[in-house]
Amino acid sequence: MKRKLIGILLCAAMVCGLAGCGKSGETKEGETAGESGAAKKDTIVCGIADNVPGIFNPLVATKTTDQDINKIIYPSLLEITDTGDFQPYLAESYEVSEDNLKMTFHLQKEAKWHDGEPVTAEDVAFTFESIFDGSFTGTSYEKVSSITGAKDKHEGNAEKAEGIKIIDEHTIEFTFDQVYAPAFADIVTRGIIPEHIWGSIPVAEFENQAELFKKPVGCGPYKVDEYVEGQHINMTANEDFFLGRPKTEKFVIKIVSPDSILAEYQNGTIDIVSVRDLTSDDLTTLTDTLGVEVVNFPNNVYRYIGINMRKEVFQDKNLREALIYAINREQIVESILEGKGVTVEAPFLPAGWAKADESKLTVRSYDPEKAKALLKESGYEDRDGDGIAENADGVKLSFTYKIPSDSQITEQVALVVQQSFKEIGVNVELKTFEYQALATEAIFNHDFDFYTLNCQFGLDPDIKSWWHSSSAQDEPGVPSWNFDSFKNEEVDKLIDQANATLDQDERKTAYNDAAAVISEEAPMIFLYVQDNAYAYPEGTEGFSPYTFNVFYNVYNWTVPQK
Amino acid sequence: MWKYLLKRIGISVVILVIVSIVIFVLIRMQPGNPFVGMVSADTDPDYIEKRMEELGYNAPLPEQYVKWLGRTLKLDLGYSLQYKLPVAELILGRMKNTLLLSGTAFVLSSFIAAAAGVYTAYKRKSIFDHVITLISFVMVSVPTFFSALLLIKILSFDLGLLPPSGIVTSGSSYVGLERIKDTLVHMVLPVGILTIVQSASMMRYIRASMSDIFTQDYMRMAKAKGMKAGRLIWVHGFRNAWTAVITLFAMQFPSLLSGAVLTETVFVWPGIGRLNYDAILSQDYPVIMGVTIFMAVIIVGMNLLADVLCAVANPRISVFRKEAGTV
Repeated sequence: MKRKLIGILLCAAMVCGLAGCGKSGETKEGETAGESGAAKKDTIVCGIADNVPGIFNPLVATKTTDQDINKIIYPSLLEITDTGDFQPYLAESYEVSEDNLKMTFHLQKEAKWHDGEPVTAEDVAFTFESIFDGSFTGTSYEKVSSITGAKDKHEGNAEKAEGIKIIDEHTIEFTFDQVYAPAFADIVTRGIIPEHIWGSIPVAEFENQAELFKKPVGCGPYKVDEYVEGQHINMTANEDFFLGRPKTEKFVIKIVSPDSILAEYQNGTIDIVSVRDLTSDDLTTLTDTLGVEVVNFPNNVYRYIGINMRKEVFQDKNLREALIYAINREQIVESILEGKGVTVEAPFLPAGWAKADESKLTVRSYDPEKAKALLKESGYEDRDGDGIAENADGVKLSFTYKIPSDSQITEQVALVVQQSFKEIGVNVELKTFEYQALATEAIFNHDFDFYTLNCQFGLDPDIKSWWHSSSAQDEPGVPSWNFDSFKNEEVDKLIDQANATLDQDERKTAYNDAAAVISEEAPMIFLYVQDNAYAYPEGTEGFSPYTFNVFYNVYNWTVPQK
Repeated sequence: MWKYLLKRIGISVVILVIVSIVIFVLIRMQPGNPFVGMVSADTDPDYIEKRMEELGYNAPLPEQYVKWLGRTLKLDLGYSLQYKLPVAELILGRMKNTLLLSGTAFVLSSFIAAAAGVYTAYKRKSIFDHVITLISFVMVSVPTFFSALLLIKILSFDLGLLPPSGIVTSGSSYVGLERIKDTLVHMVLPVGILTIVQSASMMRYIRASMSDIFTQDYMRMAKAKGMKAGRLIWVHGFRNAWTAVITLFAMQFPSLLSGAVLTETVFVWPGIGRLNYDAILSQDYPVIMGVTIFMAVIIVGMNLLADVLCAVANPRISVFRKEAGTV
């Protein structure tokens, strides 16, 4: 009772003392001189407007936020730079054999795990052997199954995969059955996990190691001090980091609400955060009054309207082309995205090395007259005066358009599309779904006329699972990533060709040709790639985010003291 | 009395079972699939099928329900698909924060509502009554997230007085008093908004039931006898409103918990509401089920508590009379 009373009194005293301590949260201690002479903060707070489930093992993490943080904790063999090239990271150098079937990586000799153990080739081998294991619960096996012996191990016929050979403590060699280009990006960017920690745990149980996740042992620039679910992750610099001690002592990931980003900056409780969804007004406030700079770069996602090619009416290329001509996509980017994005004509990211060659593409800019003419050519016109075109057999151009409820932009774009279609005599009824629910419809049930979703790219520009006929499925309930059931022999050939070589120029040519065929065929209405944007305080050094990786050089970041 | 209590508990259990069936069916009938968000396009689609099968999501619904009920009765709510942690552990961890937020707001708003409700009823049609009634009307009508964002804008952005989100300063390593102080500063905005909204709605009920009482003959009688205002209001008046007030408070507590969902989301308060919000977005079925059933238990439990407290507070309620008769 006495204790309770004291507690109550203490609280009361605290409340009285509140008025004057509004800004108590600011980090004021520990000013150090930066390279440029100005004082730099000893803590960088990076905001994330999403939850972080805290699965800190790069093999079993599924959520993007977890994966981003895993990249800080667990370095991969190579890393990708702000120009999209690979550069040495945990591997200080590597060689690829003439026939592209052998890769040898030489690890950093002074690399150490956060607990002081040395990082060796054994750890790298262990990481991939775990993925091959038949009881592995993560999603990455298919990507690396071209390594020799991976299949034997996966099916339980071998103890170890033949294709992974430890040459010495710091050298490891991968051998492949066949050249499968997308495997390269996956192997070199896969976070390496320590065998001495995870080796004693059955692979099937990796995903249930809540205790280990909270105190992850990696060899990256920062180590996790404290993970508080739903709040923040506090990290401290790893003094023994193999590229030298990180420039800022502490790195904090803070979960924020997108609605209060301005207030967070005003209070100095945040340094770096994605501001992709902020309006122009808010961005102006940030840059003009809060001393914050904003960097824009293309996202790794394109937005599109899918057309169900399984349906007979959509076999008509004139109709598909007319639908594209009917929409003023430049206008959508200009007014709805406020200019922060670009239109696309083919399924490749404009920011990647495989970007479509514009001279080979069929560009269909806004032209409603041409759209009407094309419809007429196919026999569609408004015969009964209800504003909807139909053909002689009475087939009306009236469809359902399923859209996700993920953002206001989606809704606005859908309304513009509906209106544009109406002008050429095509009627669409909008139906809104939860994003995941719509994705399930598209993947499993194949039940739609039109729908809008994102197409998100990994590092490798491979489009096989979306555009190869072998990925298409027409039977309801059978999953497929080729949602629209696009089948084209030439495209199949070009995709296979691109995946069978590691030579980037050769791959690029094949992809450019595939892009040309796809854009000519008009199987999909490509909309736009929206920009991603990050805010950071003026005078920040080293921060250079790129389409595929924001945190890659976090050990170089410094933020100035205010 | 014991018979009454047992009967009420029995009814509560039946209600909980029905509620759990409804929740289970509603959640599982929703389109979508928890694994779709977890895989990328270069994953073999059969992977999703395999995982669903492993976790028993393809079994018939009644079978799944019986299994789920069996585990739940053993207080095992399963594992979160996202966090890979026991759902019960997640809920308890978050519940502390929600209780800190909602509990504080509940205590504050109870006092404010009782004081304002009784006083406005006593001084009916005075300027004070009109102003308070108007304010409470506005606060009840305006959506919580709007008033919350407005408060953030004024107190946090324009004036820079209070932190806009979180429960402690991220990156800080405060301990002891410093930590308590830090938490209190972070509590001001979310607790404030919950308190205002809750006291606005509770106050209206209290005002209504007290107004009734003030027009009763025994009140006029007491007043005519020259009883002091304080004694008149609180002893003669308010006591008679107890049953209504207890029921109201017991009912308001769960609504405070659910009302905290919005507040927790806006202020990034790591409580149970935000946990449920995130779980719904990523279709983490075990967590949604766990949180919803947990809420149902609290609501039914508070109902039960209200009935019992009313019986204790008001001797006129029949159970007591019967018992008195038998003695």
